[in-house]
Amino acid sequence: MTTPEELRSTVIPDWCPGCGNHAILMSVKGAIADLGLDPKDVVLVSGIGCSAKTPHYVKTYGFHAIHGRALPVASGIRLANHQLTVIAHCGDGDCYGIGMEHFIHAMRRNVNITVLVHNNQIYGLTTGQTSPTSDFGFKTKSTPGGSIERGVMPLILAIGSGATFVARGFAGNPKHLRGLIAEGITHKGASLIDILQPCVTFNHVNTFAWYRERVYDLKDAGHDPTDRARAMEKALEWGDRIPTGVIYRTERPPLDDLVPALAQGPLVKQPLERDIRPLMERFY
Amino acid sequence: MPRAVKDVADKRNVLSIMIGGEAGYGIMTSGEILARSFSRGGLHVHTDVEYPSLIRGGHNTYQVCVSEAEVWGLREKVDVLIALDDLTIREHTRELRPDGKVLFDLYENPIDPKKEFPDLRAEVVPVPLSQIVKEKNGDKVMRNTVSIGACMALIDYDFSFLEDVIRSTFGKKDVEVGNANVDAAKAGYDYIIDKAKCTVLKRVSRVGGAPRRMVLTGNDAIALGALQGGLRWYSAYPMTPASSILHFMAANEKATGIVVRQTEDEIAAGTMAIGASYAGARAMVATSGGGFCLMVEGLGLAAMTETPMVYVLAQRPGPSTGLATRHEQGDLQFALDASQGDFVRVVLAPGDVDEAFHHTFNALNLADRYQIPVIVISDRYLSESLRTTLPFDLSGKKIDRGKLLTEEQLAEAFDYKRYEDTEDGVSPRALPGMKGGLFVANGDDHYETGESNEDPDVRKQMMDKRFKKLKALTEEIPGPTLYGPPDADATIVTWGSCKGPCMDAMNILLDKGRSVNLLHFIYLKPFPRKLALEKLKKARMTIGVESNRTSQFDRLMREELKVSVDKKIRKYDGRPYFAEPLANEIEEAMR
Repeated sequence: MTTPEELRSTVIPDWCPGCGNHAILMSVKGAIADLGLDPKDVVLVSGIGCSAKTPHYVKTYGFHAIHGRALPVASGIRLANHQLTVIAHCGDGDCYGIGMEHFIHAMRRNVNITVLVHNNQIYGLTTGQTSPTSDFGFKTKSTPGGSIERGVMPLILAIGSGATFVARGFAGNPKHLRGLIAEGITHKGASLIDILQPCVTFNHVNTFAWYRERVYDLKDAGHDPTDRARAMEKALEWGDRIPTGVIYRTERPPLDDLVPALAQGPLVKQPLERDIRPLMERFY
Repeated sequence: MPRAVKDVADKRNVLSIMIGGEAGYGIMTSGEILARSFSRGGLHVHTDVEYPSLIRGGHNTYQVCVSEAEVWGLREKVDVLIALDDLTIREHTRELRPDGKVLFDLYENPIDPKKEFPDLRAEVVPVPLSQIVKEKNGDKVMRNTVSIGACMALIDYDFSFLEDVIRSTFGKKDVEVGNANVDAAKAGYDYIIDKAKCTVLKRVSRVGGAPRRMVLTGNDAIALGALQGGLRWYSAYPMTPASSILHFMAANEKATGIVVRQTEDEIAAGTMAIGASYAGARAMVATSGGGFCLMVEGLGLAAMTETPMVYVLAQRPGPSTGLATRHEQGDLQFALDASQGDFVRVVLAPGDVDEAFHHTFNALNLADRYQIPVIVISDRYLSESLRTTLPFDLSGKKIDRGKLLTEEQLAEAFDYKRYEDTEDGVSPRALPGMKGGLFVANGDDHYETGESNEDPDVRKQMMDKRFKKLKALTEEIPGPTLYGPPDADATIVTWGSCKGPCMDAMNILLDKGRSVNLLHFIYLKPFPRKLALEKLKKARMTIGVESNRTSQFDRLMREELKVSVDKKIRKYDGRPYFAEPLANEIEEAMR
């Protein structure tokens, strides 16, 4: 049995004190421990940004990739060895901006990976510019007069893209988040957990306090995540009240089950040598 | 029909057949059937297809050059033109030899060829293609089958080979369809023998006792080479002229047990493959220049994370969309330095189908052995031309995974570091799932453990560590190959798929008594300096031949060897070289 403490790597997080990422890190380690996963069978994959540093802080395998591309890298890893638990850490710019195309296709493709989006509605590591999830009117270094674009709604987008597990967590409620992450990992297929993660340095609007006033747990509200119409309503809810918890869940065979080569076991464990003479025979 | 007389008794004779018409007429299939029919009769074949970027209509041609001797590329001149529409005659009158033949359905299109095509010197042989199809109750698309049957009679070639190939092409799924097509072809054949009032153009005969040869494209060979090399992962976004690799892999996904994914774009194709390779699957992607642009950020990631990758770059004319279905070798300089930053890579460009097979196999080994990206350059011409070749030699083909650790070896390792600074720069590699190997592959520069690190000394150390690989790599990179007489007045210097046309041109010139040989490069980065200089030292005069505007290979030679070729021949009209005009240009350059 691995404890969260044993999952702590020797690298010390360099996130700002009070950053929502600390709680996310704690929650993901907790979920891995709760599920009794062997660290050698877990791969954390990330793109670029503050969120992307997460793999360095957890004693599992990791792949710190490039901006926006965590999801294709994660999908490739999972399809090459579907005995691995693959968890992607992205930021809002990472996943809903530069990597939006991969996000939509990862949801529809339904590879068995867990996608954690550290959504702070701002570009933090680049010192504070507007993000795809920034609200209309949000003032940043790149939108000093306030953003004149509205933010994307990732949850409804995920459902529309064919996602089979859509949830929202809050870094201010790590216990709840830990459970959601564990649920996402257990879910068969791609799972999205959009995480409200206050950036204490650059986002002075969407703060811990701002969220605390608004978030509520869907479970307490009696929400049925298998009801898609209701799920879509909840996915669109944003403003005075912000739902957290599992918004939508359905069952659909993950891509891992549909790729013919994987029926014989993990791709990486299959023999390399093959006899291509029958293939050559077709060219006479 | 008059008696068959072979017009010239030279073994080197090349018979050039072209079939043309609208897209959707079955032209490619017919061309391939012709090529295989000749190959089964022991002849050498080289083909090419010309098509605009559209699905139906337009003007498509398929050229088949066939000879009793080895033929390396295309001829400019056409001996037999199978014209499925009158546009084909109009477009290709210039290429037709005066003693050539045009097979055309004058009954369906009652035109006066002399009036319509005043420059046409070749003989028009009218064949009632549509009427024959109607009599056979066949589909209009079968006109091309009738026409290739007629062609076989016109050149006095054994019908049995054609019959064989038609049966194996159409009859596999449906015997009836096979029979119907054989009937149609036979009707065309018989029409020429019994009714046509024309002379025969006998230039090639079947060769008895010839070895069995494969007929395949460069893309087929690349795919086979990769599969022989233990490929487990192939991801791609469709793009001409690389798409047929995707089709081949997808068709054989189950038979070979590989994973084939068509992704949302080339960025995903490339980075998904990097993920698969990091997990331990041998991975390859293929695209053309535009798609490679998108793959380049991943190329750098593969380099920084030291993840083995093979990229096939099948060139077409750029910039931008350029000529989507045409030919050029314009991406060499791009491939040599693509991506930000400095890193070790291999760039290689096979010259023909046999080399495409063997060097793609080698590309997978090099990628694993040095944990680097390897770029295999092809182009529209190599990727899509069919060529006859001996069955690939599979002896001694050993898959080498380099310093990939087993779990047992890892268990013995003390304080495992994925990016350990070793003597040769290659670090022992663990895979996720292995006990004792935990590490983070990192696109940020990092210390030996994989942890991000911006210390100036560490940065320098790790850059140097990655560049240490260059030493052994350079030592094992093969040098250029010299073809023709070892000693000659002029040496043609070329790279990649220009090998074929240059071989033909050299042979034409040697037959004319000119003293010329050919130096061909496959491996371009790292550049085989020593071996290249050894060969070039003996050259009295060098003539560079390549298919791009700015002599990109010559730029590479100047950078690596501080020498330039004496004369430059370039072609960048979107078409490959043809043997005769290239031979003329080389001869001109030799003066």
